[in-house]
Amino acid sequence: MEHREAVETLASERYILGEMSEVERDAFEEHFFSCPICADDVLVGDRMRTGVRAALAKPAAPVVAKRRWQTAVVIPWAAAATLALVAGYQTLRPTGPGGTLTAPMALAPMTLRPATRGEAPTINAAPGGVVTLAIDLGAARYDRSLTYQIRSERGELSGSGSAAVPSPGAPLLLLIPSSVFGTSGRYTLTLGDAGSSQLLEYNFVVKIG
Amino acid sequence: MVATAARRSLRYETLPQLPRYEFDGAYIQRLITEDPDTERHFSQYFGELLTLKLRSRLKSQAQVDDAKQETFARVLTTLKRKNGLATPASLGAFVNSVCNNVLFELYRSGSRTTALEDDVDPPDERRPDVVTSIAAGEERIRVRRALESLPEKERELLRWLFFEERDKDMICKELKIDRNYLRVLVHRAKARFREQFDAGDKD
Repeated sequence: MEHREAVETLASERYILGEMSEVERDAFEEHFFSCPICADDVLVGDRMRTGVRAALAKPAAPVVAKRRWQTAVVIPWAAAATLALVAGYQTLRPTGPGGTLTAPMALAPMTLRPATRGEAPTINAAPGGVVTLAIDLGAARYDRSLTYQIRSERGELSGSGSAAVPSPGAPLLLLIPSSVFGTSGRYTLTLGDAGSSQLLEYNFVVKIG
Repeated sequence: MVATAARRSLRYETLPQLPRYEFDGAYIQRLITEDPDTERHFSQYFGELLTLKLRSRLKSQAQVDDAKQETFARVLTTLKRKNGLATPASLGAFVNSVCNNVLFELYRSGSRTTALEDDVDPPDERRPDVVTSIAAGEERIRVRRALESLPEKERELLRWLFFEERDKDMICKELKIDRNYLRVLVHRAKARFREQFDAGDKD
């Protein structure tokens, strides 16, 4: 591979992203071992890649500002988790009259993060309405369907159900009728797969009215 | 169209940089006579490149280190035996081809299984032995500062790519871009990261 070709085809970026075929990778390595410019370029990319991993592997490392993170992440999540949302809604919907969606419905999900990651967020639940939760699964990986339970502070079961595992990086979206929460107060959502190998717990406060 | 335009600016950013190292006859002679500074430079410079190359092919850090040391030993032995290289500028290509031979022998001996997981290879472990732990710690701080100084969108993209390891097609779909433009975004983030990292060096 020639230097100009390496630059024009963004070889360094493709190498770091793992996008090269074996043949192409060999050719690029042959080049950058002899080309200090490309060697430097690929090493900087590698340093950046490993730096991201190392920094984010430690919860204390503030690589991303928290407030804007939530805003930026939730929006793309919504589309990715539609299936989980439907499953959650169907499972948690109380008996009684239920409507069918006939028009688009905009949702403003509240992001829930595992209990260890900060203060419990407060969710305002209008009587007769619904609340939408975007459940951040963090680094947990599940390959079986998820089950979840919502319990009040006193341990009473408010709702439970199962949902398909969202795509990697996407949250589990739950649409919950306000009536599931009998009263205002603190609630805990527990989430895991059938084997419950990675049980996640989310605390939140519900304020009805 | 956007990617093409970005590539034009990319060429401007990358090509004017000058090579940091010159591998000439004098450098190789210093290696042969075991000049400590040259040996240190050689092992650090090629150590990083070899680690990068080997990490995607070998299953453990120990194998990476072994293959790297074997490559160094063979290169230096050959240089001494032949009293240099016919084309000194081809030192890098020579190191790479020796490493390929070492890898080939490892494969033949059946040592290879799967690629080393990146997450079991923290950045300080891939550094050559000559780098002290203090220097490694300082570099970690500089790396973190450089990352923190990137615009939030870039940090988020890097997090998706390298920490969450999201599917790249899904990322492109979310950002409404194509794969080539994703590479351009990574390139820009890398250029900014380099700038911040180098600025940290001057502090």
